[in-house]
Amino acid sequence: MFTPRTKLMMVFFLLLDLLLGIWIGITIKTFQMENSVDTQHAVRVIRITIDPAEREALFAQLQTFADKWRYAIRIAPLDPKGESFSIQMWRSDMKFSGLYPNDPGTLDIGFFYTDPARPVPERYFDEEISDLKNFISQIPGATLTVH
Amino acid sequence: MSLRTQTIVYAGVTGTTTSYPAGGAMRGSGILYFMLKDHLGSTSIQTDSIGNVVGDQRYYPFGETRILTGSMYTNRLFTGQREMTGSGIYYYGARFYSPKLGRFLSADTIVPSYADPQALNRYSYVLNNPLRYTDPTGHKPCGDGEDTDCDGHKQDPNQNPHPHNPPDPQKNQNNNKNNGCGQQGNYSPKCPGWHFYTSTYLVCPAELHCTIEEMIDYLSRFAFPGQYPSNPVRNTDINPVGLGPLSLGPIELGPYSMGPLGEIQTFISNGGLTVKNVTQPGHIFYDGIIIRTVYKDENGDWYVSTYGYGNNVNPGMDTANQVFGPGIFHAANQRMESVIEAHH
Repeated sequence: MFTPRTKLMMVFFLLLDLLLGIWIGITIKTFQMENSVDTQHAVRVIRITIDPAEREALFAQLQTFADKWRYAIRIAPLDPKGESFSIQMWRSDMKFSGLYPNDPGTLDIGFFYTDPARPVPERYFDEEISDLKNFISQIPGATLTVH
Repeated sequence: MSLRTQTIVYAGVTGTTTSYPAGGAMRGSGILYFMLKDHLGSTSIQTDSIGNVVGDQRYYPFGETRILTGSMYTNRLFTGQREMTGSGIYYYGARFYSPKLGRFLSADTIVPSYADPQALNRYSYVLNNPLRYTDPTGHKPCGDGEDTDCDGHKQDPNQNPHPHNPPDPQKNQNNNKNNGCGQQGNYSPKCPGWHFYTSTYLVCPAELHCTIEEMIDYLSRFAFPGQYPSNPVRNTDINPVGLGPLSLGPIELGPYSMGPLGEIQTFISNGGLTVKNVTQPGHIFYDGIIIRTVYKDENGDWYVSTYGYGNNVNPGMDTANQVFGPGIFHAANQRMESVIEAHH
């Protein structure tokens, strides 16, 4: 009824359709997975207000805090003039990320779970923020508020 | 150098710690010893004051003791790190290391070079290249004399270094003065990967009478590409970023249909009139910042200004940023404009 060539073509296109269907299925699934990526809201947000002249003292205190609590810390300039900085601290259970200055003379820091699927107790954040407050209080005129 | 002893009180218990050097001269029990190091800084030979060898220790590549003759009067052995007496493991500052396993006993808290597959195993020791590199901190490999930034690679002044180098803003600034291209994250047009773009878009003409409160709200809903407008940003949020939303005929593919590209952290300032999106490590356009501000001109029209800049780590991304960045934000502004129009 069908010539071998026609049969071959039919098999070829059937396989092609099958592969196309699999590809579309995987693609849609991928889109669904990507759409499930969520925003991470900070567990705690703090605002440190300092005299801009005390910036280096602030960074030094953050470094000391990071050393004490075993954080890897990164303070990196965010502009060619070196006037604004990205500040990040990272540990296996908690991480901080902030921007100085967000508004003039202010450092806003968000505190996050490193792995939201394995959250640590929120009191850990409070304890460390309380200790950070002690470090910051050593800078003249600096304040730390939790939002 | 003599042995340095220090009395410490920890958790109410008083004890004495003794520090041993990894190389050089050392005086112990009134006798002067000299310790000689190999190319990795491992203590390999110990002599007395007149040059007689009193101890000789050699190591396998990952630090297991291969030969030990005589006595070594220090506990700073393989790569000059401190061996924990009796346990056979080493203290590397951030972590403990087992030379028998050739692995750290806990995961690294950072990935020092995410572009290097060898660095992705957070238990591995010095990129599995122990004959060349050491790890002074327990966080990242440190190599030969050309590896001045201690990232396991030769320092190339034309490369933008990776994001996890030790922070030293002052040093960065000094470097910026010296050669225009400093350590990590030092944004400069003189550094590789530099991009800068700016755009301004009229989102609310004066006749619509948009209020400042509205504009603050709209900006929080169109703060970055691919944002769901129903999910306004909050200060310090970390958000996934896409290029969308795109649609394929009747199928809405969602905001991350061309991504996600990575994560950004959003900061809100200027009373809500400005949002700053800072790319996070792993973002394909890392390292950069985008600042979006709504403002009203003298005619009562509301505009969104966007400018982005930074030094991309990934090769070629600066060009992609420069070419596509304005268009991506133009599309976001168009969506913002259409929503504003629909509500007036």
